[in-house]
Amino acid sequence: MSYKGEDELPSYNRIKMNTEIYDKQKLVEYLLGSLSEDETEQIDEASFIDESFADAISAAENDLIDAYVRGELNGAKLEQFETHYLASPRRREKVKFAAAFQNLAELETKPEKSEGFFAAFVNFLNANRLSFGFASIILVLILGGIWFFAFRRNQPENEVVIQKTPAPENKQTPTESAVQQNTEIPSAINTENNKTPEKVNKNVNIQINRNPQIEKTPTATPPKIMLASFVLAPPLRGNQPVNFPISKQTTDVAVRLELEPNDYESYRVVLTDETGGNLRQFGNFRARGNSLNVRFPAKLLKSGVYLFVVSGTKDGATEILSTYTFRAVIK
Amino acid sequence: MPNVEQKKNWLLSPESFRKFLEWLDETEDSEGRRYLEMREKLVNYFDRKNCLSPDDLADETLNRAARRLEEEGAIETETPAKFCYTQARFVFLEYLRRKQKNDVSIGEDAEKLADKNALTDDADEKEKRLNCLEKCVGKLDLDNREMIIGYYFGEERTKIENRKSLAGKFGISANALTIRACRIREKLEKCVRNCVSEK
Repeated sequence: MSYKGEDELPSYNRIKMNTEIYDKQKLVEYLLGSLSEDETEQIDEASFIDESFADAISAAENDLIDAYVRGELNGAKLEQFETHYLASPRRREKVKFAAAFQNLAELETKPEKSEGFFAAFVNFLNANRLSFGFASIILVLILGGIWFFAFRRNQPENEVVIQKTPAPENKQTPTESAVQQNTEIPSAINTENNKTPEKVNKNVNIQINRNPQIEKTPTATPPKIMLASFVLAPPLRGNQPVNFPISKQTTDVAVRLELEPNDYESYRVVLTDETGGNLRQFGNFRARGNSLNVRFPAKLLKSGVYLFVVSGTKDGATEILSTYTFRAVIK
Repeated sequence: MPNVEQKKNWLLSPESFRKFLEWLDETEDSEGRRYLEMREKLVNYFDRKNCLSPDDLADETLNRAARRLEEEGAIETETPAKFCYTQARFVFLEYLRRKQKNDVSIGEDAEKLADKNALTDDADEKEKRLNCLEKCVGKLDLDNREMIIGYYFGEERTKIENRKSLAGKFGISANALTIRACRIREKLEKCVRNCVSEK
């Protein structure tokens, strides 16, 4: 093993072993059985006596296996991998694990093929085997969204109001009642602050109200809450991420996560980006019926793929139940 | 070189085993962890040589090292790791000689072992493996889960960028991140292997 100064070598390709710099490419050749007997013996010995070097070999091995699983190996390297590396049942198990792990990763990161909106909508319904009634809810949401944006072009001031049905009686003026309904919104949906909701009515409607009185009132500046609401069905394998079209004016996003029938005592939901970075945690709370409702500021999202990771707790044990994937499309 | 045939019937007593563990630990009591790590290194060593039974050869190596320790009272010329490697080389050379005696080369061993079809799982196996993987990922604590998912997501340049920001987020060097991710992956592999064999 020859020592080379660190500045002579591309840093991304280097693995540091104590005071020596060793070429990662050399380790790959070692793993593929391509090195001379002497060099192989040197690396064998180093793998025993130097822990950091043993770690470097493991890292190189994992990267090599992942490259094979992704189809990135070719030519002589591919041949050597298939004839030498795959010769061992133990190493074949590592490759099978890597393939399964890659599957898990692909479920979260696979880019959506471009297709027409209606085709995508139909595919979404088919893929999720949604019931007719549930599909109708989705359709209402989408049509409501279209009407909202079409209507909004001519009307600069609009508000999205969530109402429980039947709408509560309110003796206030129309302007005040619209404001009141806006501020009542948090009570209808679980927030990350784990507020126990009041009677949650499953029949939650999205209504688009234009309240001219709010526009005309010069002094009253009620907090404008622009809410985008979505429903996600239980995920199935191979599903593409669901598109969430979100306007730039949206302030809050509310999502209902439909669950498979279960009897967990409580749930936790974590919103992550596609790299696994946590953006927001919601929990612990109980499901309402077979769904969980979460709400978070829209500013957490940029255009891209996100995940809700849902875990359930029963008898003190917590396990991940499902991962719901969606693609935020900020317009 | 010790004559293995004469010592074939040597058995490792509890006392010998305890002394062997202490010797492997060198300074700190690892509660047997060092023994398991050394065994894993030996299995990997023999596996990379495409030996048919890497586990048996690893056990033979450890047994031989323990016997030498008992016979000599102490081994101070080499570190335990170096000594175990030396013994492993002897065991491997004897394995080669046995093979040559039976006119079977290592290359032919590799051919026997290699069965690309064994790489392909049917749909049920794949499903079982994926279920096990999800279950095992669920057992990780949040930090480890985030680390392993973040480390391996994305492709090429995206993956490199992800890893840089992940290292920054956890406040560790890129090298330390690589090591931790590898260790978590090994844990997951073991968990999935056990889970798949259970079902």
